[in-house]
Amino acid sequence: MTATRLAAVLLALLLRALASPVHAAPPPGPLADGVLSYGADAEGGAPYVFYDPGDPGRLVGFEVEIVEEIASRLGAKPQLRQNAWESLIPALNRGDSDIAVNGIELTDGRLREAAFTRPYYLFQQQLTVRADETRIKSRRDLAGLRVGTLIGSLAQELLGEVPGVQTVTYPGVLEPYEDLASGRIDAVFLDLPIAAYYAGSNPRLKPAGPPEGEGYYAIAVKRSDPELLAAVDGALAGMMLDGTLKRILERWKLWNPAQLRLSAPAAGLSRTGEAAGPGTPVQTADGAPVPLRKPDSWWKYLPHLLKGAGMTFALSAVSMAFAVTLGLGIALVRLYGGAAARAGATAYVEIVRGTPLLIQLYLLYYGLPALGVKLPALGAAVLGLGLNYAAFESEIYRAGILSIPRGQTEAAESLGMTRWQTLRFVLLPQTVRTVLPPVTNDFIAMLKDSSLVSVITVVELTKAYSIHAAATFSYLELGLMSAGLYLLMSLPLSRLSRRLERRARFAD
Amino acid sequence: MLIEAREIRKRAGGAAILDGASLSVVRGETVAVVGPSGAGKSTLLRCLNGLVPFDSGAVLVDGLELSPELHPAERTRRVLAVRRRLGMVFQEFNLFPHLTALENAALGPREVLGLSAREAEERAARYLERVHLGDKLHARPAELSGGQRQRVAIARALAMEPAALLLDEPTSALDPALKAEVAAVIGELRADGLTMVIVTHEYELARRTAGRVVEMAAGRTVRSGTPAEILGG
Repeated sequence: MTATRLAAVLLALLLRALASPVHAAPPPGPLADGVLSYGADAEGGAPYVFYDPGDPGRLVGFEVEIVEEIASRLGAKPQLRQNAWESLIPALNRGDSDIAVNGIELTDGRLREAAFTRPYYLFQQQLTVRADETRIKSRRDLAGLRVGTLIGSLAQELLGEVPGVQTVTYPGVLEPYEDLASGRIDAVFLDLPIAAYYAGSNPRLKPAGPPEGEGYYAIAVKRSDPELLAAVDGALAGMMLDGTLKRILERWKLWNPAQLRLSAPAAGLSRTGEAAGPGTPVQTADGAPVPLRKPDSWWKYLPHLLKGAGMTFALSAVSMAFAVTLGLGIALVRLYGGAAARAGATAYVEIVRGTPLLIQLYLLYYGLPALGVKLPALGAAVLGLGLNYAAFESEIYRAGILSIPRGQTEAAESLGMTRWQTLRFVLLPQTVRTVLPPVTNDFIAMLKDSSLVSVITVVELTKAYSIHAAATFSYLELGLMSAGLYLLMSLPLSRLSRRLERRARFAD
Repeated sequence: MLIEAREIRKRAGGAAILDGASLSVVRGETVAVVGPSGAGKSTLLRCLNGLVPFDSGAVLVDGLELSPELHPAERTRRVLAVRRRLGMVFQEFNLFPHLTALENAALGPREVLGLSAREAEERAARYLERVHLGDKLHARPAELSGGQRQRVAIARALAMEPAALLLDEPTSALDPALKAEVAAVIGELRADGLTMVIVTHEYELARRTAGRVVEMAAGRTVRSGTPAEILGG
């Protein structure tokens, strides 16, 4: 009976997740709901948007302060919508957030995809190398070498213009500097604020040559939302005029006189580097990065990891309930359906099994909106995991049903049972026993596969771990804590699976 | 005539399994069908209650006709009606392993005949007592001996209160001592006047339980007579 109640609760959760959009229908005016939601990636997000290493529940960063100020000027509350950095613009366009603010550089490509406010920061690119490096003095020396940068960044485009460079792209900004220090790559080329924060505090790394190239950070707004664009842009203009923006940048040691060009009436929006001509050199005020603070206690992170673990478990449980139900349907169609239905079910299993879950998630979340179907993040996550696992569960059921001796069906039929009665009273009760252990194993696998849904903005345990680990460089400590939480979830299931296996063995 | 099979033919994989087999059973009669392996005995038995479809010929059970010419939906309807009149017992028992003896025998009455759960269990208990298993009502098949399992299977078929019982090699999977115990129960059922068709290659069982013996060879029924006539002294 408890299993039935659990299933009912999970189903209710599933329905709620599918029914209630993460994001309500667009309000009549800008921010009628009183919330200014902004897309950003807090993983490795310093000094832009990141969780305070000393107080892991608190978002900090110069962009956090800029957004807080804009929101307060618009009479709204800021709210972060976590997403992978390279997905911020697609997520903005599908309505996940009102704006996207995360060191998004103005490029021709991005100007085609979204509308942008005036820039709020003028940055340069910095080449970083190992402290003992002698070959590399500037970008011109990079031919034939491996150079790391952030995927989808302006720096990546600039590297592409240097002949002979092997560009290595990373989804975050912490990893390239780690790889550089450990010798996996030869240099890192990234925005100066990033280099100052992540490389400046590392004695094994040093800048190679002066900063070069110029670019602009600006706030992205959906093209279809000119009212909001005007409002945010107006707030930003006000912050430049009254010195608020300058004070924020100074607090983060990011202010330099070149920033004054942004508030000049004819601030040009030319795209890149040397071509833009020499301007006032851009530097952090004193070159000193905001120091990394090591947390004083790892236990402070436990509530955040636990919250992620809760999401991991709930997501996996609801998705598995969905997968098990749909899988049974698919198995029955393949065993008893008409020729066309059977072919359809077989094709479904082959297609889903033969393509990566990651691509399926991207298709559901970012692909379907093109066809007018916009799923909320949790709904897409449950649907993606559920649809994927259903293909595997259906094969377990099918094998389970087929393994029951033919005599059982004959005995049921000779009692005058219909096909449905035979299935319900004779075949399925016996199948459940044989499939419970493999299905439990798949549930354990799902706990881990569910980490893939972080690509569609869901923050579960693995994502919570990587966000906080990147903010504190504590991959080891938080990694062990997170691994422990995964084990706490999977070990009881393994035990259950072993017990069920024993019971199934003794059944006949 | 309660059961009649007329000129049944069935081919599978290019070979004729039944090649014009015929059989008649009147109410109250116990008929043993004997013959070598591969003669088609078990297939003929399965044609009688529609477990196996055939290519030509006809089966009549209590006035209901099964034939290959029937529309599938009509065939399904009639097969279900025929199966309510014919209980079946298998060589390998085919008990439902997840159910107790009582549940095995009560499942059909409850789900197929629509009896209440209590009525179905009372009836199941009655028939289990009739096959001398009143003390094993709550045992699962895995806890029973082969002879006990076969008797549960007989009780399961009887609980449907069929017009006749079809038994497919009912003692062939059993040790000699257990064969005798099952044969004794079948003998009691005959004494009660139950109509039975017993497929067996064991002459001893046929002699002990059958009023008439039909011999099959190569898919045909070739002889019919008393046990003494067909099986010899």
